Amino acid sequence: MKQKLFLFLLLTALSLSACTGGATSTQETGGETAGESVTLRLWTHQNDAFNEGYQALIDAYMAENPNVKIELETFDYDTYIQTLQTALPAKTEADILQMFGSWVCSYAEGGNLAEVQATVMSLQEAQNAFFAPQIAGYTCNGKLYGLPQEFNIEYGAVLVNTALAEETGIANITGGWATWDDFIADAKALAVTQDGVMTRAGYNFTGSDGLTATFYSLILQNGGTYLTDEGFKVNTPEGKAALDLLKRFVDEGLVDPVLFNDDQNWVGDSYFEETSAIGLVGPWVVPEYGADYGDVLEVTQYVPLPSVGGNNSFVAASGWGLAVSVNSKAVEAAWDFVTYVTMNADNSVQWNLASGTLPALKANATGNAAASLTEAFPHFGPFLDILQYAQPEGAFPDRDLVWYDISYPRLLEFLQGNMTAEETLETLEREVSETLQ
Amino acid sequence: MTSSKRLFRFPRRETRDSAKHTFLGLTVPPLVLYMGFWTLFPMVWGFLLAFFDYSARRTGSTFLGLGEDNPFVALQNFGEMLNFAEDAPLIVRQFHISVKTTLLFAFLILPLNLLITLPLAALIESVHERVKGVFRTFFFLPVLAPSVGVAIMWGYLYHPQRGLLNAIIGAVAGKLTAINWTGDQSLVLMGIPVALIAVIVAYLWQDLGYNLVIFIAALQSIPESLREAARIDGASDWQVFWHVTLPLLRPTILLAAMLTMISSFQVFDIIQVLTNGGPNEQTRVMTIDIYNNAFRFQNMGWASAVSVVLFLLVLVISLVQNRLLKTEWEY
Amino acid sequence: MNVTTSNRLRLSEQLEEEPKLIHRSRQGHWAAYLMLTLASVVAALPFIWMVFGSFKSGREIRQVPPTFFPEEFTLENYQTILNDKDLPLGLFYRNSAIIAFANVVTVLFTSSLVGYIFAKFEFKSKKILFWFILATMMLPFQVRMIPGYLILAKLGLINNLWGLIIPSAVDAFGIFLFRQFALSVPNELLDAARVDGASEFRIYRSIVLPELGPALATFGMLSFMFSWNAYLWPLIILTEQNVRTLPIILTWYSNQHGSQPHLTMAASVLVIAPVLLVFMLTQRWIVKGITLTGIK
Repeated sequence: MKQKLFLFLLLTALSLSACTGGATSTQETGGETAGESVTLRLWTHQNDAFNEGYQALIDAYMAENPNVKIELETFDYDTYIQTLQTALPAKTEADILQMFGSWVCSYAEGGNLAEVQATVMSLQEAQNAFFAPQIAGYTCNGKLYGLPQEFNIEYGAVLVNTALAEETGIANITGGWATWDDFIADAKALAVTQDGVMTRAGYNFTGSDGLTATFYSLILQNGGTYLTDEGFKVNTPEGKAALDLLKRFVDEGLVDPVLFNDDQNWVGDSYFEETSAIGLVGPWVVPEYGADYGDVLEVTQYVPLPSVGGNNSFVAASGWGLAVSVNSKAVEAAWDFVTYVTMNADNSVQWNLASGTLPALKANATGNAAASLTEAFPHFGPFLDILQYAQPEGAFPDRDLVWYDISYPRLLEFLQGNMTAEETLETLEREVSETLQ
Repeated sequence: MTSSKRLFRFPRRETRDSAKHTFLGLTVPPLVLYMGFWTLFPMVWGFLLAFFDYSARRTGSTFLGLGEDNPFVALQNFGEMLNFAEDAPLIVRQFHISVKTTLLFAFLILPLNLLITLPLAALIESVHERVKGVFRTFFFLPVLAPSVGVAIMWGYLYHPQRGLLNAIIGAVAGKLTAINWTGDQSLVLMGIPVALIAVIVAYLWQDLGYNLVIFIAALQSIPESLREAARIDGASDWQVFWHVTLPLLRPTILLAAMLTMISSFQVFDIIQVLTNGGPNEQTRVMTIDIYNNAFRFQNMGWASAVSVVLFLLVLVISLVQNRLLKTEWEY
Repeated sequence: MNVTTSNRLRLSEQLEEEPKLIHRSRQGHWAAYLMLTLASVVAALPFIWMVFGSFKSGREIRQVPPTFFPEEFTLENYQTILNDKDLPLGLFYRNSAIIAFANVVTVLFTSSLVGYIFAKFEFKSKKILFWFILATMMLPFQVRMIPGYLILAKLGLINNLWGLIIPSAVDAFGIFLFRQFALSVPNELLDAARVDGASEFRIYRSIVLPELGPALATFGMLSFMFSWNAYLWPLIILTEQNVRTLPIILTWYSNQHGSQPHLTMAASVLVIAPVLLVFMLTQRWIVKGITLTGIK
């Protein structure tokens, strides 16, 4: 296995160097200096706010570099995943690809992505510039394959509908909660049940991102780890403690996990439709829903969640960023645009402002950039304070498989009462371990 | 008769034969090449893949990308399918689930389909000629809707809070009802997951039209005199249907039944959109298993092995069908 | 490679004749009418629910419990979809139409020609070839799906409308069907034309094709429908937005990040309505075709 892996890496490295060589030679014969026009295609997933941010940067870049033409092509989210999976082996992909950090390594190992050239940025520089969980996703076997644009956060603070809290008679809900007991008491009061049917969830945390992030964060907060030297371990006292708290949320009637999950009443929809009073979902939903639900947005505040024993650690996936296809005929031009978007602090924060995302660049989490972000997005306040506690999720060969096809269904099954805690932990550990082999 | 004589006596035929030859020469070889490339080649390739650990993400050798990084594993894929241990790898358990679900789906669709289409066909056949056409058209409409659209439609009928189904039940029961028809794995009816039943209902709704139209035509082809004769002998309507009509319909029913079943083995669109195999894989059929393994996880060797198993299942059904039909037509 | 005409085989010719029946009008029919009407209502409900939903506002459609009739009737959903600059509906209509048209033309041509040859000519390996064509009809599409995708990828036909047109140009079921029909073309007719010195292609064009007319019409229309509605193969082959076809974009407004049921319903109406309209106009042919062929 190891030998094969080595051979594979060698081949990948060879093919990469071959491609780099090719790109340089094109550069020589007719690069930017000669003013030859270059057309770059950029693929992104469909998110109006994100793409308006890209378009603005594309326009600015094209104005500065008249010989470069950049075409933006978008796909709805599910389609984008499928597209990447099928187009990359078929080599029909665009030059620049929007990537979710946790996808990068599987494509990089398949030899589909171009390594960030040392002239662009060294790994060391990147690690200094970007938050650890963010750059982690773009780093595979000690090599860098792309640059992050945003800090992906799905845990740490929750959406709170202050109008509903007021109606329910909860004072100062935005002041936060010192303990889980306080939190549960408030969320419980906000839940509404009619004829035995939950019509409003007090705390909707049962979406796939939120539930898995909660589970793995709680393991950290309880002082455990799930990726150890002996592999993936959750059948531990810390894992049990995490499940116990999740179960308590359900038993106390904060949410009905049968009616509120990814398939029905997904937390983003549900919160803005006011069928959930508190919702666990990243701040990226705000620009996406804000336009259609202005009245809900007006009474919305993010409030930090309590922690276990004062340990604020939480897991964060590597967020959206850009990578370059190894098949691109203009790798250098592509990297030039990518660095323009991701590393230039002004441009980077401009995109964060347009898309309503948190900065991946450490420099933009403080100072003027942070001030402009919180001014534009008051709900960012609590998040900017906790970015420092974020831990990388860890390297999984296929993170989405682990998160969405194993962890989420098993945890949901547990919360719906179809599996005991022991069975859940045992199954999770076995099934995730399988994917690591 | 020597050939020279023949040539002399039938000059026309000879030129005709050469014209035919040219015609065949111009049409048959291209066809053979075309079908060879687009049908036989992928078929053989598909079977080959089942014996490799193949992923399009890896390069492999120059021969179809098989070998090297996509190693030959002989019967390993099929061997693993027979691993029925409780701690078998996830992919194997998913395969087992998908075979079970596919069989359950197909064997439920068949009787339900016939139980609805046969009486409905008889009913439509019994009304006035003009109205008949209207009803026939009407029940056939869903066949023509894109199955994705059908799935979306039914998704909104089944929605726990906004769905029509729960609204009706709620109105009847006089209280708010929010049954999650397609997403609650704890709902099981006589050992069959409710989510699977929900999918079956949507599939039936779309699929009924075919058999309905076929049965109506078959009913029309039965001479009225036969039924009339039975009636004169004092048979009731029901007896006429049971003892005269139904036996005459038998060959049609058998054929329609087998075709219904074979096509239900290949259901994909409705399930992918409505439940995507969930909840907790209760509606995971083999086509979903194949699609996910091949195109989501790029595990194409395994997916091909699953598709070979699907082929074998369909083959067995087809053979049984042939057998039954032959005996029918020989009597 | 055609998903459209999988293996619902022909039903025997016994069904072709629709004998004129002596119609009996008897008592008790009201029960049949009542039951049929009830069944029709149930069958129509999903359609009705969708159409009503497409005229509800986003707020109304999310009401619990839901309304049946739209309380505030609005055309806004349709306006939103037609003006959505991210969703070039016209382009998707065009793609679907191009593919469907090309599929129909190629399949009709190859099926009728080859079916005719199998019916009326003798040549070496005819048996084996015909047996092979029969066998491919039995083969589930899924077996060829993965290599089919890999071949198109190698040829650079992924995200190319040709990728849906070329592999579907020859259809085993079509050949089989047209062979059955061509068998009934009288040999005398063909021989007479040959005596008159007509070339073989001319015979095919001027004599055989007209004889196959009705079959061409029904099979052509059915092919069109199946191509128009196809989902799985286009889902795999067409991943870029500018080449997508209509059925795939139905899930456009219900993706992971925010589902908009009112828009999805309106989009569904826009995709389903043309198909039903065409069917209403041509239903006699289609239903006849189904009974004739048992195609699925």
